[in-house]
Amino acid sequence: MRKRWLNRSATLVLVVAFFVVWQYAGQANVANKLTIGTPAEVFRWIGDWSSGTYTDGWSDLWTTLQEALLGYLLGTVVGVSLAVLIAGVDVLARLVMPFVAAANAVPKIAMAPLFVLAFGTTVACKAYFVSSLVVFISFFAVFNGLRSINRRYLDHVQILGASRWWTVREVYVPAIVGWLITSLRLSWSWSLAAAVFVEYLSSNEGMGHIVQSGQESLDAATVIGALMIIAVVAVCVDAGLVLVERRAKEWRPA
Amino acid sequence: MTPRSDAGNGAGRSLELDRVTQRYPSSTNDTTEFVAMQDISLEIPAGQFVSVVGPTGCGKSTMLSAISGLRPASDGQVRIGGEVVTGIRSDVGFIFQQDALLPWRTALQNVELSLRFRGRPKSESRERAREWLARVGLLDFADRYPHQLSGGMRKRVAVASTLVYEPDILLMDEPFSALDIQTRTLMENDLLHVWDEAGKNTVLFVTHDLEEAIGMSDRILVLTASPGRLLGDYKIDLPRPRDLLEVKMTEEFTELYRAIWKDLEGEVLAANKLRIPDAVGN
Repeated sequence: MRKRWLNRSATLVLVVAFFVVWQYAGQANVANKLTIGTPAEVFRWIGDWSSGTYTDGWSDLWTTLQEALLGYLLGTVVGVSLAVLIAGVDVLARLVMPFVAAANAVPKIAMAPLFVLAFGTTVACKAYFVSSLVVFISFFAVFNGLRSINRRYLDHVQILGASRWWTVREVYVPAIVGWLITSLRLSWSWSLAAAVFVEYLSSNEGMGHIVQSGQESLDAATVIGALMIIAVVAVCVDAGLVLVERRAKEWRPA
Repeated sequence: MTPRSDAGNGAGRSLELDRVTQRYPSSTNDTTEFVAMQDISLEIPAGQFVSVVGPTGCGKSTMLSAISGLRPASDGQVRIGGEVVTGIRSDVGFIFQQDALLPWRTALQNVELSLRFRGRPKSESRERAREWLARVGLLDFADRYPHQLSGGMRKRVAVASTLVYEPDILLMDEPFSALDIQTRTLMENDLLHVWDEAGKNTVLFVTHDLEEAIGMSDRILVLTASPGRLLGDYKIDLPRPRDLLEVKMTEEFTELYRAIWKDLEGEVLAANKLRIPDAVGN
């Protein structure tokens, strides 16, 4: 117990030290002040943002969240469905997998401009872009999960008298749930980043837009402040997913 | 026990193999095949506890797969109670060598599975599963997951989950070989006890431990090295009920061991590609 408090205190000290150094570095113009700003400015900016002084404040965050969440859901549903379909039909798997692998190798973040051109700049369009990243993550998670199910469990339930329906319910679904949930955390971190990125590229709303206008006006506080807010949201949702993951992994050896 | 139509009545049925052969395509060469067992014919009356011994690769596990319907035989016929085996049957139970319990289900849930698959109401399944867990001494561990149980406990859950639907034929593939020797002996005694209580169904027990085989069975079949053929068929007349620690000390046991080992030794050496040492003095 004592050791944990020691560790926590040490971390706290480091965090405080980080902010102190940052503040001094910014004030003393050690690096270009325009680049790093100071914690004081950043927190003042966040305060202003949340009270709505500059922009619509929370609505920008909501826009970004919408894009991230919609893309996340869409990508997950499509990825899981495709994985189930392709893993289930052997011939299909052999035909399709090379294409999937090739598509996966393409740096999808770099495809953002293509999405903007093709679909436009509405919230839905940005959600499509987000889903294009998430779909690969969830697809591979479920596909690999299905492929890696030990034959022995299938034999066992068959002998016990399981029909196809029961086999799906008792072996396939539980086996892939673990893989899927782990991939959910990965998908989430990419979702938010992708949403901010595509907004940054071309948008007039959302946190990415705020970052972009901050960069244009060489305002470090804006850029860093907006990114900090994004980071906090990401961490909070991830913490929730960690709890879900822990429940789902109860049965695994430690 | 009253017979149920969707499961065995547990009293056992006869088992026959009629010139059963099992071939596998070679993994390296498309044209050659690996013959796991060749022309095996045997008859096992209902309620007999039969052990199958032989060296590694003699087709013991293959025989069980063929009987269970998991991997049907290439040639020949398997008959249970006179009926030809064409696929997986609801009156056959199989306990695998490695853990086959579903890791994502608790001990109780694992034992219930076969009953739920047969459409029994949830409360009834739960009740019977608890009975069987109690019989193998694990009622207190009903809500544990397999990884929280020891190897011996997992085996006991496996036995409960198989016997709960009272199969007429029980197939066991070296079920205790992964356990340490003391646990193994305890499990052997436990199994005989439960088998007796449950009404003595027909058992086909594969092992490479000759002591275990003699201690547990009414009859021992010896298979040759690959391709497996029937080499020997021994009757074990030791009285029941047996205690595996005690029975090993008896003279009859030692004699049986000597006789069967003579057959088995040659095959084990052949499987390991060694020559039988010449008798002293030659």
